[in-house]
Amino acid sequence: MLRTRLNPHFLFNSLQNISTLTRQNPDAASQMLARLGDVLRAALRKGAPAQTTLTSEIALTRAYVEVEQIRFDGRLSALFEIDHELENALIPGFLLQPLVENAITHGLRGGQASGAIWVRAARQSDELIVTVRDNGSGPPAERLADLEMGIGLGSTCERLERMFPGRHSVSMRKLPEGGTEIRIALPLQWAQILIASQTHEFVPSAHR
Amino acid sequence: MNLFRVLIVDDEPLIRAGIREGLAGMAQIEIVGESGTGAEAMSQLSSQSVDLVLLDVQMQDCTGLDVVERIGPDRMPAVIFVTAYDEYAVKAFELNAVDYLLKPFDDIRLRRSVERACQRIAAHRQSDLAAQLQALLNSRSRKWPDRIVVKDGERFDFVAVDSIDWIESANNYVQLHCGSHQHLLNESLTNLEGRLNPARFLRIHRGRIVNLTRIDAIHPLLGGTYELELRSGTRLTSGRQYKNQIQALLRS
Repeated sequence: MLRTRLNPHFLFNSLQNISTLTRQNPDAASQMLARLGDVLRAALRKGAPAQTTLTSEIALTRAYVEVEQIRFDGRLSALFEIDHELENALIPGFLLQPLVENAITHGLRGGQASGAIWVRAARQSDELIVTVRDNGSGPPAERLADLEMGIGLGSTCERLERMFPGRHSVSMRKLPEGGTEIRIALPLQWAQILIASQTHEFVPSAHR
Repeated sequence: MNLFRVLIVDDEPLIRAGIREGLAGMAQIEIVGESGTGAEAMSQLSSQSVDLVLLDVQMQDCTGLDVVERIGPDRMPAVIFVTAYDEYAVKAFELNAVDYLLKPFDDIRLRRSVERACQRIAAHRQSDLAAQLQALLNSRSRKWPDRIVVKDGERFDFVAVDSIDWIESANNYVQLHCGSHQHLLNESLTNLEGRLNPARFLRIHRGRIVNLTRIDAIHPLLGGTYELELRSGTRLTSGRQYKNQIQALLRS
């Protein structure tokens, strides 16, 4: 399960970074270990429901981005814009992380001095709209290749098609100012916390 | 005393710094440069003399094997591949006895690997090292896509490669014929041909590629052309200049 959720390159390269930081900057090493721990905990969560709240998905994504920021030594900036009313909206777990990973890979591509990513979540009538943007200079050709190989964005598309057949959309566009935007629209569903079962698991409820 | 000139190639600055620090205590090592991309590594390797390169396998712009391929195994210095996780690569390295380091590694493993490499360089076995690198490149298998993405306005359609019966060029586009479905792709036939597994798809005409598993019968026509009858009943004529490929097919 860990393998399907987390890119092993990310894990082992992060460990190598921590190894260097223990000498150079022990505080940063400790911070990076803690964030990596957060990401691993989320990835290893057993019996997790297919969907999680947007709040916890964003927390995981932030932890992941923090690890990447340390890896890329201040060359990466990230901005999260999340609509407050959507805190309890449901979203498939580990949906954002691979999208952000792609955005970082492409955003820092081509020897660019700095990468920037923007993650936004907003409501549009009955839909949850999530967008991930980067400032990468390269053409989105590599991502089309990913789609064909069923990795990265490709596996995301397949997963959403299984979960929301015909009720979602994924699109990719090149931004006029440079960079690429991935936009995902999902049917808006809300989490209900089951107090009685004391499990803190989230189950989907009908649209509110 | 022998001095070994070392180049460090990894796209992550902290990992390069860690390697540099780890090698700091080794008197016989001189670090002559660091590269953060495959392209930089290639320019460093062609502009200065290097005895040993610590080469990251998976970089943003290309792989370490691409670097070896473009420089040429016989012009490459000794290589220690550094890899985070790559089951295929590790197997290939083991088979070809080229040294590699798995991340995360500590100073002890790093130094042991570098020492071993230096001993081999000192033994002047550069031709052996080149042969190993060449064998490694040869063992690299190419991956072919399982599906083709067709952009239709804002949406992307997946077309399983298996579902394609044959492909036809139409000006700057190609048309994928998949049973009763057709898809238009903004790409040249030659470009698409390069992306398809040649064991499964054959160019039979300037404007046609056929899925070999769909061929039911081949009828020779006059002048070195052939008519290929597909399972669907479609009949395609091959081009004269593709005669040899069709004949090879008949022999196999």
